[in-house]
Amino acid sequence: MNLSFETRQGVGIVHVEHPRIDASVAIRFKDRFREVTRDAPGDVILDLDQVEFIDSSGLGAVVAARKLLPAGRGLELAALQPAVDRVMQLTRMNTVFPIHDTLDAAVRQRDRASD
Amino acid sequence: MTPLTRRSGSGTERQISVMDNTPITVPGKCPIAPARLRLDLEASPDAVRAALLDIGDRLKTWGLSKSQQTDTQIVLAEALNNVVEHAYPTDAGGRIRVEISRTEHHIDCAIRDSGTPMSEGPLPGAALPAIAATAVQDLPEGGFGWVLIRQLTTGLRYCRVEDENRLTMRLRLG
Repeated sequence: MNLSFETRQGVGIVHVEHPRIDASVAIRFKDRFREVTRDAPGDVILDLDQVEFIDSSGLGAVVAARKLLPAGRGLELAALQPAVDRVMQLTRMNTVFPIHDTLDAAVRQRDRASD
Repeated sequence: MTPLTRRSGSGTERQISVMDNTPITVPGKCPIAPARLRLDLEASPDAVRAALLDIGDRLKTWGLSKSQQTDTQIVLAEALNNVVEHAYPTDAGGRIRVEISRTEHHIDCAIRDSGTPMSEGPLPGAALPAIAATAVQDLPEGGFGWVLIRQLTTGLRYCRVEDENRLTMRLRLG
């Protein structure tokens, strides 16, 4: 389970470089998220483009990641694959996290918001 | 005699032997052959992941839509994770036996283990954890597994038979 971090136009992006966020990596996901976002200045976009599957443990880890960010900073999700989107819809977590079709769309939207 | 392979609408492959002067009738719709998969795995998160990947490969050959494959995977992932976490909570672990079968209208999954029985009463997951209008720090990090199972199945049954937990789950196709 690796997560990488970059900043694009002032917004932090965490790329999940793993095909699954499931019970066997949920704890590592949370730990790595904490490490890579420690010095991030503002909101964070979680790029899920490579993630083909998430289970309820993985979903719990994403919620836990959201709580790790200090007050006032948000977590948005981008590039959900069909199985990830399905789990988000069924658990209504799509009402908790802003969701973007692609990472580019997520970054563009923030650009517009800051204009 | 020339063997021809054609792909039918339902995705199954048929071989047609073409012989001189032999009339061939192609049925309008081919019956879907029942399919079955049995697995016996160790109760650990890594073994569950490996099993789900194997199951995913097999489901691709059963003529299911992508979303039917996804839903079957979600249901099995949650049920197997529950066994790992709750039926075998200690490091001693145990075995899980899985049987998945596909008939024309359903996918049936049967999961058996020899771990701790479930507590009596209704199965969990009747309601989603409360998320509306809650503060970020109060968002639930668990309680979604049975909710997913309940939402995606049309039949769900748990029995304790002698020293065995038996969970059966049915997904409707179409």
